[in-house]
Amino acid sequence: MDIATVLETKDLCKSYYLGNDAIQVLFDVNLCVRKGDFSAIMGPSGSGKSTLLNILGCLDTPTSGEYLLNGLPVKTLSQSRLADIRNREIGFVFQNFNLLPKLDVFSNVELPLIYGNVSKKERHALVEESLKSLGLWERRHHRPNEISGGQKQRAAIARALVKKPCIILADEPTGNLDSVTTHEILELFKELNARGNTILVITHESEVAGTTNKVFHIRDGRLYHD
Amino acid sequence: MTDVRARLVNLFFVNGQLCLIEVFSNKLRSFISSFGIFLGVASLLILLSFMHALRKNVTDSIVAMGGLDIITITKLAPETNAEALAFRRSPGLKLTQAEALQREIPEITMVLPEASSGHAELSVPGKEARANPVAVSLPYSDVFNYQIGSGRAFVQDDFDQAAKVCVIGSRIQERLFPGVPNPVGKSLLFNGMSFKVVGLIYTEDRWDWRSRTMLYPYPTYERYVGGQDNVLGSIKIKVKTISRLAQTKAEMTSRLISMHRGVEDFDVVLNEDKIKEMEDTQRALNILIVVIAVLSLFIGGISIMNIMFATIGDRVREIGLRKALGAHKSDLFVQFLIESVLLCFVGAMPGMVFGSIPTFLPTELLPMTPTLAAADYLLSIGFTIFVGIGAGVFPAWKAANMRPIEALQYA
Repeated sequence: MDIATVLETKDLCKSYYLGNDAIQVLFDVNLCVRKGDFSAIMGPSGSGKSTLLNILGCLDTPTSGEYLLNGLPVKTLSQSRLADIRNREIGFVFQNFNLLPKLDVFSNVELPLIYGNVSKKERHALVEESLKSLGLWERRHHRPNEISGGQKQRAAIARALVKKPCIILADEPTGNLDSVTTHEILELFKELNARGNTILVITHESEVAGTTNKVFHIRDGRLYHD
Repeated sequence: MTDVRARLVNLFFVNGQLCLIEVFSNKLRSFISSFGIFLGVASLLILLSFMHALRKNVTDSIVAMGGLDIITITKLAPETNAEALAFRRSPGLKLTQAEALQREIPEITMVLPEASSGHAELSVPGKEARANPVAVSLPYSDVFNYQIGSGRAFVQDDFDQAAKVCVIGSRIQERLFPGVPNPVGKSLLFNGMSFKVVGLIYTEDRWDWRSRTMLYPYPTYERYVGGQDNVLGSIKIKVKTISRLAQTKAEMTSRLISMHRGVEDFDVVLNEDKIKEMEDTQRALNILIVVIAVLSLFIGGISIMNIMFATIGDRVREIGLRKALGAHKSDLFVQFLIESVLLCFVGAMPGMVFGSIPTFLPTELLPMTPTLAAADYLLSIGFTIFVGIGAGVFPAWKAANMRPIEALQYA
């Protein structure tokens, strides 16, 4: 694994168990994402793409195979260490935004920094930088129900970016947006990638996959390279 | 070190702020959930305030009873016809008998006759007051800690001359001399005779029974009120040695029976017994208060635990999201624990206000004066935190131990 590789999987498998029956959903997945990549994993519903994203996001663990994040073998890490990695190394963007409804935009973006034990002064500076770079600074005191869908997703992206993670994992980031806003968000991803961010998008839409530089296809739990 | 500080600040302070937003974004639900705590804290403070009042009453009574070294001989009323017949043989309780006892029993240091005819009407032109007139000996007010607010206490001359003078309590003063701040020097009618008020009995609160008392010299009773028999209601006797109280009592009883021609028409009571009885009652009340308070707070705690489980059930996805953003188990555990404690405080704060109401009520409305000290509020706060932690620990543990992926995918 060279220094520019952000994440790498080797023969990664995942099975779920229903009683004694094992249902395998991922088969020998080999994936490599390098620093500065803007990649997409595309596949139909039920193909195993979300399961793969959950493992890549350290939310779930593989049944077998290896997963290295920045060279670290994730499978062997404790829950506490995994929480640290999710906080420092990974920025999540979800289809349904997952903003906390009772907190304003500022506090939502601030959350990862609180869990990262960043001091108040530094937190404010980082949130300001993140919100300004996404054009949301004026909306910082608004709650999620007071802003548009596109703004919600931009707030979620600001939250993903605020800790300057090594990779942004986006799970169907445009799934809940209209076509105009979808275009706006995809342009934003391109811009972020141009600024040096590594982005991996999971999608079933070819339009979304088309904006990325590298596309992986997933079908029936098997990953195919373009 | 800075990292540890930032971790602690974020864990408790910033988490606390986020919990405040959560708790106060649903004010009504939060208040209803913590209503049990409201009732628990309010009842705890109300009971404590009355307990303090009772304790003060007991302490005051002990002081008013003159301490442990007092024995009271009280005249008994016959309960049956046979007793009534028997009691007629006895000459009744007389000062001369007590004086004889003092001569015969060296343990007795002082004899304090007390002639009380029960409640009687006192009057001035146009006004009347029910009072408890008691004829007393000169050292009486010292032994029983009567304090004179204005005017003077009795002096030897009052006793030598059997003067028609009296000292009165504040409620008699209010009834007979309304608007007169100092009625010393004025006269009142008792038993058809005019008595001059020479002093006022000081009482801290108007419910003190001494505020209805009128004291006058014992020789005045003998000469003008008691009639030829001069039978006393009770005699108080002060003794030397507290450790010999039981023997002295037995000795006095046997001698009095022979003085009363074999009739036991009196009761000999030790202050020690009365005080012990009061203290036992108070101890029982204390236990009752603790049981009531603990039970009500326990019930309040159960409802908080219930709502915390429900809250966590409603916010599984949020827990998953927080974990995805890097929250540790400890972050979520502390968050829900703080939330549980805050929820308890939503009920406890108005509970403290409500529980303090009796201390602000006018003394006329209550038979005692409830009081609360800072320590009582601290105790309530301590209980609230304890119940909050107790009620929140299982729900918080459940939230902290959710698997991030399952929580995030929860529908």
